[in-house]
Amino acid sequence: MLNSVFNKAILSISLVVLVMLIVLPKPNKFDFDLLIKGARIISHQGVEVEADIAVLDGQISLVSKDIEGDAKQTHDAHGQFVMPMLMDAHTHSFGDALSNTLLFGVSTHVDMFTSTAFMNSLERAKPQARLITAGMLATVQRGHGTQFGSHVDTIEQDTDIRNWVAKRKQEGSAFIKLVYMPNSRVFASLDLNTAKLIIKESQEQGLLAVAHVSTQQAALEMVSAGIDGLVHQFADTEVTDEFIALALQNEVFVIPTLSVIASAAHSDVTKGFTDKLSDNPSVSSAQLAQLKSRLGTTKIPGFDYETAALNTKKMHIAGIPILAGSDAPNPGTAYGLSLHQELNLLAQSGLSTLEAIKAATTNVSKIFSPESPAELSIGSEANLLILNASPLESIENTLNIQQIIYQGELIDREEPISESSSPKLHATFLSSFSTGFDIDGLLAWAATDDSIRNGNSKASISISQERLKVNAEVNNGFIFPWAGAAVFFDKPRDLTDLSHLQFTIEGTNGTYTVMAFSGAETNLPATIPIDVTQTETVASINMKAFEGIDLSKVRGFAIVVSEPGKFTYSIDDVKLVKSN
Amino acid sequence: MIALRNEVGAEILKSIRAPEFVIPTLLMPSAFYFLFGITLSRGGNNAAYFLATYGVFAVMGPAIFGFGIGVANERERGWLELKRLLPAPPYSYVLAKLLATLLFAAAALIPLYFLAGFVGNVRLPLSAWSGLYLLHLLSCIPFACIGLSLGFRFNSSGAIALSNVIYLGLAVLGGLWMPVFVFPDWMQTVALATPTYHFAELALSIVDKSNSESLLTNLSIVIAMSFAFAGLATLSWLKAK
Repeated sequence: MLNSVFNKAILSISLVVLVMLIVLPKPNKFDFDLLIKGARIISHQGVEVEADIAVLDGQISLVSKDIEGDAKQTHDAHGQFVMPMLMDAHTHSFGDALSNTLLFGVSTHVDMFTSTAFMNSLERAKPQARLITAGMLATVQRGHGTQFGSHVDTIEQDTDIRNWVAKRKQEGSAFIKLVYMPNSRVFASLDLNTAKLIIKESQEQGLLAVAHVSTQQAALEMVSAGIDGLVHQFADTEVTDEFIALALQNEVFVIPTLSVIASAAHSDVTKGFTDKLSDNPSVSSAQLAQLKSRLGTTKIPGFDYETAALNTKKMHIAGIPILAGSDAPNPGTAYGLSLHQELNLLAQSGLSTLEAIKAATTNVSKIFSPESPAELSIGSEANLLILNASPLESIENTLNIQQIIYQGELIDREEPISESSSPKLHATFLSSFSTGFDIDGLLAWAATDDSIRNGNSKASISISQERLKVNAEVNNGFIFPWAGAAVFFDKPRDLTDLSHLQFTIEGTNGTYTVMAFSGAETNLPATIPIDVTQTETVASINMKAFEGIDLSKVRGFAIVVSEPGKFTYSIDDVKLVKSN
Repeated sequence: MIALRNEVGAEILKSIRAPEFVIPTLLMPSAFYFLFGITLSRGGNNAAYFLATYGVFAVMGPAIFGFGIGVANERERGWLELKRLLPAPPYSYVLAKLLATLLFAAAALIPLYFLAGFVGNVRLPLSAWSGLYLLHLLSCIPFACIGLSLGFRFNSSGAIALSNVIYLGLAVLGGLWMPVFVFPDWMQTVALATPTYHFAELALSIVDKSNSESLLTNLSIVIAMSFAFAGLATLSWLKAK
């Protein structure tokens, strides 16, 4: 009897375990991570072919009609159009540039000058575009590039050019950018011999050399000196046959950056593009304001938009490679978005839609990332732009984005903050500092400085005699250094019923900066300078004077110092008022 | 062989007739797993992670308690002495208990695995499910030896107290309830000395291939510890009166 108990127990447990092991869920075996079905694919030849695209391990593993196989995710793209993600051939990347730009289908920033701090800070959780950067630029003291306040390793009489280039290479510069503006009335410049030396050294150390120029004469001298590419179109004179012949002979490429030339020329050629963006849900009001802003207060001499466009057309027809670059985030541009604007301008100046697309894809990858071509070929990185309408039909359709796939992953394109989430605020004290820093459920004060952008400035705040006391030390480091105090609302607030920000301030003599943060978190703040002295004064700032502010979604304000030095100041009676 | 099978059959019958021991031992680890491994730790690979560690926890119960307290009881009542006088081979008493314990462990793992697969959405290839099950089952052996040592050394009330301390101590310190990496440094060092930690590491390497740096070390330590505990159990048996 006991014997049979044993047998039954062994038998039944074995049986149950066997059944269990068989029925327990097993992982699915997939052939692909992502399968895009029935898309119309924009080919190099400019024809649309209906096919499927299979993605595995971040790469395009198959492009063919009716691909068989199981995929983890399938995207039905019937009626949609697939092209490679874009590459921006001219940017200055700071802050969240690389994650913002992805949302507009830009996979790569070819960067023409950023801080080494930014280059070294690229390990973040968010997906971000690839950075191919010149890093530190080659310029002289008081030359173009030094006006932003961040540290520049300028070229002096006694600089060893070989070491200077080697240092850039060690810092991770992928190519060398030099500034050559010998005739500028505003900036000092490298002389021709030094520029030649930099070009020669760069090329000997295996790096491309590109030049910032603003006149045809300077461009011609650079091309004669053996430069690999020009990072702006010149807009002073119509291009000569001599220039074109020499540029072709020396295989020089040109990045026209028509967007920023339109901004410097105060041209309204971009109006058509920006007007259409106002009802695009992916574009924030602040990005729109950035696009509408202009470089300088009036048209800058030597920048004629029509000339730049004509030169670009002539160079393109002659066969000089044209690369699309936006020069974001200069006034008149916004990360990612401006590359689409640049494509519009290139198409307007005479490139076909296919040629414009190539200017932002294969033309850029051929020169700056030959190992990772921006094309839909097997083995390429799966960076795909899925559009609702054909970009060959109208280049404006590159912004009609259905889906972005970057390194094989779908990019989550979240909606900007909705209007309803911004409660309206009426006349109010932001603080009198008699009970502390914060007002529960409305706002909080904090010290703010550029260390969050890898800068070197420091700020601290305290309350003393019922006033907000600020200690700020501004040091060069970040391109726009700052330190001071900021007040942020718990959520974006609608201030459209109010007109002025008022507060009393006294402190170290100097020009301070008031910042307003509005719209999306990624927007740069709008700024207004104020003069501060050791005598207490009331500052009253018309909020409409903040360029590009979105008063319906204000996140906060900051009162900071942005010139190097040590400052102490105190603030009181901060309020928002309506005055006529 | 017949004697051994009868012996095991008797053990099973005895247990079934005392459900107050069997039911909690079989179901408590699964209840814990359901609460802490699935319900309270959503997201990621947590359900698979805790399946690996709670599986070790599930077999510890029957092994330590079944042996420790059972043997101490029977020894106190003179049953062990009687056994030694019977014509059955001397090892059959221990072997039968071990087989019965393995059967209970095998049963205790079943609800745990069903919870993992169908509530916790753990997906593993058949080889991993089977390998994990086998590993969990075998991890019973050193704990059974620990229980046996306790049973031969201490009287039943002492054995109950000590079994509890060892059972809970090894479970917590070895990282069966929560991952070792959340511990302070000194506790992480202590964890290295527990068999539970090394069994958990082996089990984790089956559910997550990336966790396999120190497999050979874990395996050697587990085998060495099993022999050491078996030796301790033998000594205790020889000394037991």
